[in-house]
Amino acid sequence: MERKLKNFLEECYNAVLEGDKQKAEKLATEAVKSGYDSYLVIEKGLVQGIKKLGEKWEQGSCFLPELVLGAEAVKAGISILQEPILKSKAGRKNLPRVIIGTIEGDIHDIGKTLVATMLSANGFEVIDLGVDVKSDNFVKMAKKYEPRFLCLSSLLTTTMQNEIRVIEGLKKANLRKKLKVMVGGAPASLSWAKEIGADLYAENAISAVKVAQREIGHESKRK
Amino acid sequence: MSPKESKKSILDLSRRRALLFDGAMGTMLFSYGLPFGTPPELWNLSHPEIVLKIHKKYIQAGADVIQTNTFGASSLKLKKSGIEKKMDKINKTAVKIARKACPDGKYVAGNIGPTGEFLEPVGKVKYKDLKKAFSGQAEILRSAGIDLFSVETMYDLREALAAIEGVREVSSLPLFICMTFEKKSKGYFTLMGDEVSSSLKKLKQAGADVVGANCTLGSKEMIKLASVMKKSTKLPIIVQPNAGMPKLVKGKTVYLQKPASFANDVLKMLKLGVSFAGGCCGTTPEFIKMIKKSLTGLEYKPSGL
Repeated sequence: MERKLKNFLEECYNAVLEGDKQKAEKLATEAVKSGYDSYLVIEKGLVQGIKKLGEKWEQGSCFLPELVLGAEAVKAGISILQEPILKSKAGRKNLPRVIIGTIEGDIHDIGKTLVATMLSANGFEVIDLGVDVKSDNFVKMAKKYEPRFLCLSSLLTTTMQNEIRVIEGLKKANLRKKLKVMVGGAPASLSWAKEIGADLYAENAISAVKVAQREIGHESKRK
Repeated sequence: MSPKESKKSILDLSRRRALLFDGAMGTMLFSYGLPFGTPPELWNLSHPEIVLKIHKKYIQAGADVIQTNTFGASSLKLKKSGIEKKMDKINKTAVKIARKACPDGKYVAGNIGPTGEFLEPVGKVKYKDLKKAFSGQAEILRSAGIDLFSVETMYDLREALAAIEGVREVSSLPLFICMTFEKKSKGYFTLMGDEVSSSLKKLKQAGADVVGANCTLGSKEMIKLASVMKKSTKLPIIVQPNAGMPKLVKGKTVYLQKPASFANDVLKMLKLGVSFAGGCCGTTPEFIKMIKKSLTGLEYKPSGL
């Protein structure tokens, strides 16, 4: 890789580490003008920064503010870099789509929004349905947008039972096999996911990204 | 008891013996059938007899301080459930219920929790909005007749400081404040990355009378944190741990720790120089009773002496 590009990617990486949204936007605009490969700038620049922050977060050497601001910087950069990609149909098809929401009866949004932000910062197209999402609405939106992943978030133990209703709704609508259901939130666990017939479980926002990426890897291998 | 007397008495009293706060309110309300998703504060209006019963149980168990059922009753938090118009009534009624359960010589703490909003730039709210929400709730609690303030579960130092400033705008009553810390490889930090020692220092500067920690950690994990806090401040310290770490059993969160082992851990923290102890998530009157029992006959060396 030529030195100039390498330096440029490092600048993108640093903008994310510093949580500097304006800098990320400026660099993204510059990249589009200079004709750099948008995917390269996203993957080798911005996303590397958020990956690093994720690692630091897992180690306990950075905290929620750095993670959120870093993710915001990535998102801002990606939205500019995506413009040329999205103009082509092929590009649009390449972005794995996720629908996410907090389950009916539960208004906790911090964790859910963080997962949505991290997924979107890592190149997923995220449709965030918000909190207290009715089971029917999850099914309706899944039908309309045909996502690869449906992410259900819960913090309350009794309302998390509503996740079962979403899965039943998906079966009735013949959508169950067309997408992967991922559950998360403080009381969720791998055994909970198995108990209700969900496909995937993620412990936190970083793991949600890893789990989704791993799943995409598996799918593309099978194909 | 006039506010001035109570300020003197609870802080003075704590120099002579350890004082007990109550245990969880939410855990108890759920056991009485509060549906998940319903704001617990609404039960002050719809089920006052149950809230009263819980307060009385904690008093009978030996708590010196009971906390009003107003953890989520700031305007910003109530707004999330669309019931902010009931703020005045919810807080007033909560104090009335607690007062009814509180005999002479015991204390009613006006309980205040986080707003659930993040400050800029992570979130959208401004410092002055938080301060306003806290002072609004504090004023209702104060005028309804509490003895002290108990601000809890603060995961952002800046929000905690806004709470102290908000309370101090309307009252000089004793102010207890608990942050909630997670254990990380490099020590104890809040969700926002605030570290223990500097947090406690800033809380003191802002006007807190008692500082400490609640929630997130179980009693065993909180012992180490208590010693870190003790080294960090000369203010009296309060701890309100959870009943161990939550486990998920058949889709329900349960706290498996037994009252005796909880009380044993609390006793260790009191011996380290902690002045006030109570319980957070998963604790019941049984836990407070057990601490009270284990304190009997204990020669207590209060903090700072």
